Parts: sequence; structure tokens; C-alpha cells
Amino acid sequence: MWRRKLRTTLTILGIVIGIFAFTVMGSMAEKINLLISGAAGFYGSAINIQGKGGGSFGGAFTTDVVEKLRRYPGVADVQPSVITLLRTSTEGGGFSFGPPNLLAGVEISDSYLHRFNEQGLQIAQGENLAPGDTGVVVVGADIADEFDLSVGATFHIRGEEFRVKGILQRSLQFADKITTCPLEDARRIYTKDIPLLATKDIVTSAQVYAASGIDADELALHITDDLPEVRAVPPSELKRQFEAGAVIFNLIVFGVALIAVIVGGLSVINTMIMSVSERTREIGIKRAVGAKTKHIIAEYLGEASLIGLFGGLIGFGLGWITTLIINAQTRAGGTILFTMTRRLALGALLFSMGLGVIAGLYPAFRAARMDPVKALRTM
Amino acid sequence: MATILQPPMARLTNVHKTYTMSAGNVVQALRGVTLDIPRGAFYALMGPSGSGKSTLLNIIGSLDRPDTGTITLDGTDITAISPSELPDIRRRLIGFVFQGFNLIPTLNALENVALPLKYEGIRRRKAREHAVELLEKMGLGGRIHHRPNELSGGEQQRVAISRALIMNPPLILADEPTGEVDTATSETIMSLLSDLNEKGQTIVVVTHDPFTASYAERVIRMRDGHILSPDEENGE
Ligand SMILES: Nc1ncnc2c1ncn2[C@@H]1O[C@H](COP(=O)(O)OP(=O)(O)OP(=O)(O)O)[C@@H](O)[C@H]1O
Ligand SMILES: [Mg+2]
Repeated sequence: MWRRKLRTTLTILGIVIGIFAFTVMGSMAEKINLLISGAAGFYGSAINIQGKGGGSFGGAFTTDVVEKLRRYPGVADVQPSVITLLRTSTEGGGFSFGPPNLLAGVEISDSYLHRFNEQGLQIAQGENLAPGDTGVVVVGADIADEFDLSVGATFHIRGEEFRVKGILQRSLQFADKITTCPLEDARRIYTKDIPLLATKDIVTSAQVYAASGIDADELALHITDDLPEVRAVPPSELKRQFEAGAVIFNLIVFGVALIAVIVGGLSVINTMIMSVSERTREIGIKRAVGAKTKHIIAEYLGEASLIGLFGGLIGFGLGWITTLIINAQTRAGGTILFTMTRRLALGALLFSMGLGVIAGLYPAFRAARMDPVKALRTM
Repeated sequence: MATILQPPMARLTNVHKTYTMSAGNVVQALRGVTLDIPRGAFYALMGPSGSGKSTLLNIIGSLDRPDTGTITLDGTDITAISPSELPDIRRRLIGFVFQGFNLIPTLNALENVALPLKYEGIRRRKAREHAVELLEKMGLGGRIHHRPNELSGGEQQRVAISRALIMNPPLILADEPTGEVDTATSETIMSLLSDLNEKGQTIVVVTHDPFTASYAERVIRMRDGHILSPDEENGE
């Protein structure tokens, strides 16, 4: 009896560890998936224009290229931007856990504001940028947390003072780590540190939106051919790049799940087989009082799935608490590593129960196939 | 009498059973047993160890199948039907009482007794009520929540008998029910079985003990896997 309790506890522990790892890795992957789907949605239909100069953002190019793009046949809209680090590397801006904090200067137009809404972004406090603004920023939720900003506060960015005009609702996406300002402001900051630049009239990237009825991927190919200064990344390629990132993380989660299956599943099988042979006589008695095969199978499967569910609940609970604690600690630093989703919670619990059931199948059938007379003769 | 027109409770015709041991040795446990157990009979089955008594009882009770020969229970040929139908027949027609009580150690008296009702598909509450009622009738009203290891041998055997009776089966098969209890307890058990027999239940008891056998209306003697004829018995 005591040994059986100990063994059952160990089995549950096996499942706990498996589901714990599954939950923690899973919620990390969910966070990444969200980021990626957000980014994919953000760039979804856009052609991303990069300069050929190299560098971390693909190099800059001049505004006359933007003008050429605007006049290019099949182009509906162009969104130029200057994107740079919020903090220079000497300020510790280039080195962080997770994606870096960015300063994005954008041309504020009606179509920009329209797209802002379409992405599902919302202003939590204050107001959004408006055409003609200067010296103001709208910050993501993580930035507001990290630098303790409120609407109207002064925000020092690379030697300049900005007023916080608005704070974004937390989106759990990339936008949480971005500080948005008018294009001119970002351009001034960007070029200040590069004194040898021939012209100050530059942007670091642009999004090109195809007119309706125009295939964006094809348009991108034409632009790359016709404008030697830039490379136009087709939406499909961008999407592929994002998805490749997601695939790796999902593979990691899959790997962890596999380990959970092996550790948890084998320990359930082991425990159940031991318990079947320990309770051989009990099975014989049950057969003698008229238990059918299905009764025996149901009893053992029920027990196995209960072990699975119980271990799963504990493992999931511990995993969730762990992600909450880590999130609480890293939130101050503006980083959120984990996201708990309903599908992950459901997945973890169903997974643990399924694990119990599947691992219990073999022992249960073994128990049910036992010859009642032989079972009764074993002492 | 109406009973004469009914089929016998059990009828065995030329039943053979061999066991093959792991080493390849063959044991002929039953070599051609033919026997009628009439409705309402109280039989004792005696014989030396290894003579095939338990094997015969298990085969009557459909726990084991013969190699050849037929067994009919209440007119149904159980050697001709599918094994998946046997549990239902076992539950409804037969109550087993074993030597070692064979109670399930993790279940209390009530749960042990209610087990056949559970497999019959009877609702838990009703099953428990019914089991409590029977245990009270057996004088175990104060013991219903005790586990087997918290009960005396006599009490355990009464729980085991209650479990055999809970479905009110017409045939009770007891394999050395007094084998592990003292004389006073075996007396109680045997008078209990006698009472049941008086109320119409058919009873077959395997025993080594002449005192236990004295309760039966007829003693059947076995040796080497077959039933001794009256001549053989007298020849001893
Ligand atoms: N499952 C089995 N496998 C192998 N041999 C068996 C099996 N069951 C019974 N036997 C053998 O068949 C013979 C008859 O056994 P059985 O248990 O019927 O004897 P018994 O008359 O009940 O003896 P006892 O009085 O000791 O209980 C014995 O030789 C026994 O070893
Ligand atoms: Mg025996």
C-alpha cells in the first residue's frame, strides 16, 4: 500500500515535470507567436523597402527614392520611416533581453492613422500623433513601464527632450516596445551621430502598399529591378522570414512535449503495469463477481487518466505561476517573456489527460485479458 | 411439482479439463465428469487435494471453460455461447464464496458487497442502500465502513457471503468457505447456508471437513478428476 502510494506520487511527479515544461515553453512560444503574427499582420500586405547600404536596418536611402516610389505605377501608398535604437549602444540600448527598444519616426498622414487603427492598436492614455506634430512621442506599454512614463511627462531620447503625448494599450506585440515620433525628429536624431552623411534627407525604410488589383510580390520584383538603390522585400518573403522564426519556437515546444510524453507516459505505463500485476487477484475477484472486460478496462483507464489529469493540473499550475513570477520581474525592465492563452491551458490539460489514457491502454488491456481462474490462484 | 418440469440448476455432461504446465507437463484435472445439480439441492464436494474439486466448481461457475463436454446452467448451454456473455450469466445466476474470503482490501465492507450491483449497472445510491440492508441482515450493521483487515475472519466471511448473495443468485458455489475459520464460525456460516438452502437457493460446497459436509443433503466424492460411483465409495 505504502509502496504503491510512493510510486503513484512519483508517477504524478513525472507528469508534473513534463506538463510544467510544456506550459512554460508553450507560453513562451505563444508570446513569440503573438509577436510574429502581429508583425506579420503589420507588414502583411506591405512591400518592405530597404537600402542596399547594409547595416542593422538594411542601410538608409534618400527621400527622392521615396518620391520615385510614390510615382511608381501600381503603388497606392508609401510609408517612409526612420527607425533607430531608442538608446545608443553606449547607453545600453543595443543590448537587451528580447527585442531592443526602438525609436520609429513616421510620416504622420491620414493613411498612417488609418493603418494604425486597422492593426488593432489603441491609445490607452493621451492622444495619438497628429499631422504637424513635433517634439512629441507616443510610447508602447512596455516603454511606459520601463521608463515610468505618463502622459505629459518629459522623455529624454538620445540627448533630446520629448513630451509624451500618448501611451499605447498593451498589445503583447512588437508595438509595446516602440516609441513613435514624427519623421523629422527621428531623422535628426539618427543623422546626428553620423556626421559624414552626404545628405540629411534620408529614411531607413519604407513600406510600399500596392494598389488594389496589383500583385504585391510581383510589384516588389519590379521595384528591385528598376530602382538600383533599394531592395524591395516581397510580402510573401517577409512572411516566410517571420514564420521561420515561429517554426523554430514551435519545434522547441514540440520537443518539450515529446519529452513530456516520454517521461510522463513511460512512468504511467510502468506504474499501471505494476499495479495490474499487484492487483491480479483483485481482477480475478472482480471477474468472478461478474465484471465485464469493459468494466476492467474502464477502471484502469479511469485511474490512468486521473493520474494524468492530476499531474497535469499541478504541472500546469506550477508552470503558470512560474511564468507569472518571471513576467512580474521582467516587466519592470520592459520585457514580457510569456503569454498564457486559453488554447495553451486547454492543450496542456487535455494533453496530460490524453497521456494518461494512452499510457493506461496497454496495462488496462493486459488486466482485462487476464484469465480469472489463474488470477484467483495467484496469492 | 413444478420444479420437475424445470431444467436442473446445473447439468454437466462428460466434462474434461487438462492444464498444461509451463514445463510442458499435462495435468488431467477433470476426466469425464457427468453430474446433475437439481434446483434447491445442497451438495458437498469432497476428495483429496488435487482431485479437481476447485476446477469443477470454477467450471460450473463459468469462470473456467472445459476442453470437452457441456455445461448447462438453468437450461442455457454455457459452453456454446460467446465468452462475452459469461459475466452477465455469472452475475445473475451464481454467487461465489472463496476460501480466502477474497475481499478487495482497498474497499470497505459496503463497497465489496455492492460490487456486483455496480457491474449490473445499478445506481450507486440504490446499490449502497441494498448492500447496507443485506449487511444489517447478516449482523454486520456496525461494520459497513470497515476495511477487510479491520474485520475478524468470521466477519470477513460473512461479508464475502453477502457479496455472493447481493444479486440473489439461484446458485451459490462455495470453495472451502470454512477452511480458514474456527469451529464456532464455521457453524454460523454453515447454518447460514442451510437457511438459504431452505429458502430455495441451490448450494454446492467444496470441503475437506466432514462437519461442514454434514450440513449437505448429499456428499459427492472425487478422486483423480472424476466422481466416485457409490460402489467405488463403498470399496474404500
Ligand atoms: N490453472 C491451473 N494451471 C495448472 N494446473 C492447474 C490449474 N488449476 C488446477 N490445476 C491442477 O489441476 C489439479 C486439480 O486442481 P484443483 O485445484 O481442482 O484441486 P482441488 O481438488 O481443489 O485441490 P485442493 O483440495 O488442494 O484445493 C491439480 O493437480 C492442480 O495442480
Ligand atoms: Mg481447491
